[in-house]
Amino acid sequence: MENRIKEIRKKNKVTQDDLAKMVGVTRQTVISLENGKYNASLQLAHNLAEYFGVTIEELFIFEDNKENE
Amino acid sequence: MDYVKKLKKRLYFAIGYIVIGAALILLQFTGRVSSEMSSCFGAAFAVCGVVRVVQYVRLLNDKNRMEQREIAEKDERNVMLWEKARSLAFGIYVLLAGWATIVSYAIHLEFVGQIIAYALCALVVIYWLCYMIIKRKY
Repeated sequence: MENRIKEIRKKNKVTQDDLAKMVGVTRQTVISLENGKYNASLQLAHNLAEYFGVTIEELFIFEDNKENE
Repeated sequence: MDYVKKLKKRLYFAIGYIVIGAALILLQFTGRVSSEMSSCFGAAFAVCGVVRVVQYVRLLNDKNRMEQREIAEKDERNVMLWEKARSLAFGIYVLLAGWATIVSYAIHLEFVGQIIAYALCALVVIYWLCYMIIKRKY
């Protein structure tokens, strides 16, 4: 599953370290999420979306959304 | 603070390791146990205990370090990695034990083969029991 975490994080001028601290994960997890190597749990996806003030659908690109675009 | 309680609990367990280690060493030095293995195991227990005690005391005294450790332990990716590693280790162990059983029988070490086979069976039975219990929970 692809995501826009890196894009939105850079837009908000937040470092990986700060984001990790804010959502309660390690920096390595943020790196893996951004590289698409790891898929977030529902709780983490919610926390990330809440932190950036966007919806989960805006942050994560689900296959169905991709097809509709 | 739940994590502080958890760390304190671990600290007591680590002290327990030191006590067990010291007891094992004492048993050998007082002549109650003749095997040198007792003091070796004792030393290993004691060293593990001391290392852990130092680690936990440092964590308990440093709030930042403790927070980082808590995040690392609760981090969902780390949890996933531990579970995957455990699962892989289980698979490899079952495979190796199966091969070891066959090889033991092939080189006429039937007794060793039997022990490995029983241990393997026990592991598989425990796995299925755990699976059935966990299945009910979720």
